[in-house]
Amino acid sequence: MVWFKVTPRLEVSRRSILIITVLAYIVSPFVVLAVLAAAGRNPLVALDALYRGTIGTTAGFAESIVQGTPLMLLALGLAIAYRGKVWNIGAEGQQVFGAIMVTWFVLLFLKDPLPAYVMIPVALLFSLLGGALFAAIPALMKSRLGINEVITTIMMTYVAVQALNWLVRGPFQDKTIPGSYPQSPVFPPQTALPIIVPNSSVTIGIIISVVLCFIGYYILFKTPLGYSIRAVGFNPSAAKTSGISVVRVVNSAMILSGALAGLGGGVYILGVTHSLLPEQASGIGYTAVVVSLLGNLHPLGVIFSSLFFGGLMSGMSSVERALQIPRTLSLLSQGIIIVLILIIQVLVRYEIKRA
Amino acid sequence: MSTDMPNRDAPAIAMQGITKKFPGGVTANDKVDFELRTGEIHGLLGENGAGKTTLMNILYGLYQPDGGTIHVFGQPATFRSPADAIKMGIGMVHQHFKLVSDMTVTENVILGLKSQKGILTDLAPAEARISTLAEQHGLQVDPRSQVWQLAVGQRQRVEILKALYRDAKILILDEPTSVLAPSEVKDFFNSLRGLRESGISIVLITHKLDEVMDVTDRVTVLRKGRKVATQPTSSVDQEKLAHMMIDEAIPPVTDKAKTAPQEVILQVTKLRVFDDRGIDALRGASFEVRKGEILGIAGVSGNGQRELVEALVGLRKPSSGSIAVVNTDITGKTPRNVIDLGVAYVPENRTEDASIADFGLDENLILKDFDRPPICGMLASRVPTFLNSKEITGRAERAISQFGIMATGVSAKAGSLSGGNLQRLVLARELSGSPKLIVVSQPTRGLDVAATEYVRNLLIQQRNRGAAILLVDEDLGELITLSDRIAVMYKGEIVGLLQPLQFSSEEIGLLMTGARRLTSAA
Repeated sequence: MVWFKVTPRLEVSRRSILIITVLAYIVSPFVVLAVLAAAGRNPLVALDALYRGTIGTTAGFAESIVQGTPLMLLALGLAIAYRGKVWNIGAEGQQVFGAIMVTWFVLLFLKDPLPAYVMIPVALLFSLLGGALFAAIPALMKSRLGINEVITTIMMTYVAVQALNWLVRGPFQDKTIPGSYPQSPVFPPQTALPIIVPNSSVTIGIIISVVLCFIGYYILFKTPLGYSIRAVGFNPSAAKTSGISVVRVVNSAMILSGALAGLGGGVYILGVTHSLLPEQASGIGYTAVVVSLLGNLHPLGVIFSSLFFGGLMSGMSSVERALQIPRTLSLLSQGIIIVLILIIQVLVRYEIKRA
Repeated sequence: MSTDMPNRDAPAIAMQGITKKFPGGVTANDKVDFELRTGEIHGLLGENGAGKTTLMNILYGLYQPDGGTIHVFGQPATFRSPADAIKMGIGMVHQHFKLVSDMTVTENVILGLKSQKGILTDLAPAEARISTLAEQHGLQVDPRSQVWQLAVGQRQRVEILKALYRDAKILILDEPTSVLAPSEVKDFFNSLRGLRESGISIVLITHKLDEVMDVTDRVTVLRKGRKVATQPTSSVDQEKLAHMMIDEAIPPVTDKAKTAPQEVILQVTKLRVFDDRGIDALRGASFEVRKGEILGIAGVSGNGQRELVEALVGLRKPSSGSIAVVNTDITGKTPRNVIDLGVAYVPENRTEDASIADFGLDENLILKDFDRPPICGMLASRVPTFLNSKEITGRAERAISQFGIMATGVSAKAGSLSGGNLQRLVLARELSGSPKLIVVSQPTRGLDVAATEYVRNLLIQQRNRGAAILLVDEDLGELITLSDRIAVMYKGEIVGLLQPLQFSSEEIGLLMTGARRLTSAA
């Protein structure tokens, strides 16, 4: 027995998508409160903690931005690649490799660092090139040999993560610390990204990220490169017939997304950890897949979805502390929110009527 | 099974007032009544786009009608999916087969059915039953062969066996002969007669008049989504059917002035091209197309036309031979190179190869020159910068008014356009910049009368302007009306090159089916 009928809408206005999406973002955290109430916790205490961990206090707000910044860059790159139906699942590996390249560069100048205005741009450039290089390998494997990029980008991530684990225990390890901690020497202050909000760790990274999202928007919708990426994503056959080199477009989309992921890794290490740690591979590259989808694969949407997600991570750790709930319950709640928003984003395109 | 106790007095199928509208305002079926009697072969006749397949897809549960009722053996029925239709004893063989090529015949037949052995497949009894069914209905095929090993005619039998295996009492066949060689058609029709003897009711969707006369008991004619009439086949003849099917005579094309032979634009020499399977699809074709000339290519589809066209526009690498456009060799060049030499291409499949459904009209119009001025800004006249939205909008506005495209605006999605408007959009893009050579395939397939006339006149205008046109067309009437010369293809070769005085459907028909061959052919 079917109680209702789901049919695609012929016209979906941009405004209704926007309104519904914003509503979904606002309402979904309250579902978490219901989950916590069901788990026998006081939802009002949770709400208060959530508020303080996100927009209620300067510290909470700052933490949200710090968490959201690298996510934004990774998700931006993925949004561009996914528009071209290039399924890069390896942003994790690309950001890790970006951070490795940064570390390599910084360690060369560990004793006598150049001034910050040289160190920082060059270090960021290294992260960008690292990510691009790392993504170029699966790109070539796809375009030259026809190997599925989902598989290769995931496998390449293992390579990057294992390389990271080896480097922090080997060539990059800080031998001056007694005991053998798996970490590189702490970077000199000349490499630290300037802080823009006093008494916080909010750096110019967020400004770079937001600006790049706008640039990404222009690339995707206002340049021939973006046009060809979208054309190939929608209909590779028509693109090819019209003289577009699908191979070149696929390569560009993959390398561009890798470069942005690498930069995300660089911004994280130069802005937050100031040292290469095994935790650089935190799984942020996989989270970014979700964030890019939450942002409707739109560079400007990604600004909001990544900040939302940064807020969610910061807010939920505040809830964890306030209610003494296990991390798993907090992760479960985050999962519910994501699924809810994704479902709503799909359902906007349909009409639901009673049968 | 609901067909266990069929009401023998009721017709096998009774569809009443079926209406189906598609997004974009196309009414594919408009209050169509259709009745299939038990144990008859019923021809469903109409031109491309008349609504035959839509009507039968509704009967098979693939589409839900917007109005109307269906009765199967007297029982009211609503089909939400093909599964529902199959339960009522209806089977359909689509024009494009739905078979898994790496599986055996038996595996294909039982695909989706519950096995007696639970999660294990139970091939032996299935195989035995398929053999019996095949024997009984004259549909010989080895149940253990893998589908990729089978010829097209055999695959078709597998599709029919699939339906019979599911106890189909009603068979819908969508243009079944389009994939068959003429010799196979005769055997196939004998199989159909055998099925009819065993009490199966058959709907034969077709646009070929001789088939209707040959094998059907009754015939229903559709035109532009409406039913024209249902008649016993014995009471009609081909001429009468043609009249019901087409009604409006093809309007004479204007301005087809005589042009004197001019310089050669396209020179094809001993061209050989493989198809997707690596088999020679084009076997040494040589011809030329001159300025101000339309060279028509006639032939039953699948005789190398597609491979020829794809080789010409750079989508398929020839295995030998050469192609030259205005004395420039383009053999094995990319589509980009070919486009840059002034070659336009209007592909057969407008939605797949010529347009991007999710792009607006404006974006579709810049598909071939989005990275060059004036559409794209240039840095130091070399590096592309930004798309010029003013230019893009302006072009779209001009195209809409010049080509009479009916759309809600410049950024209306191409996917929302009707077939005729989409073709106008494609032509607007392809004909801009006065191409030297225009390669056109099935330009009016699925279009209504007005759009058809428009497209034909446009092609003539281009010819008169001085374009060389290569026209691949299965619509013989159109080919004869438009072409200055006609080359007939059969099994990858040009078996005849006809001058205007030699144009006749009979002559071309004989050449197309391989019954005749002109020695003068290149």
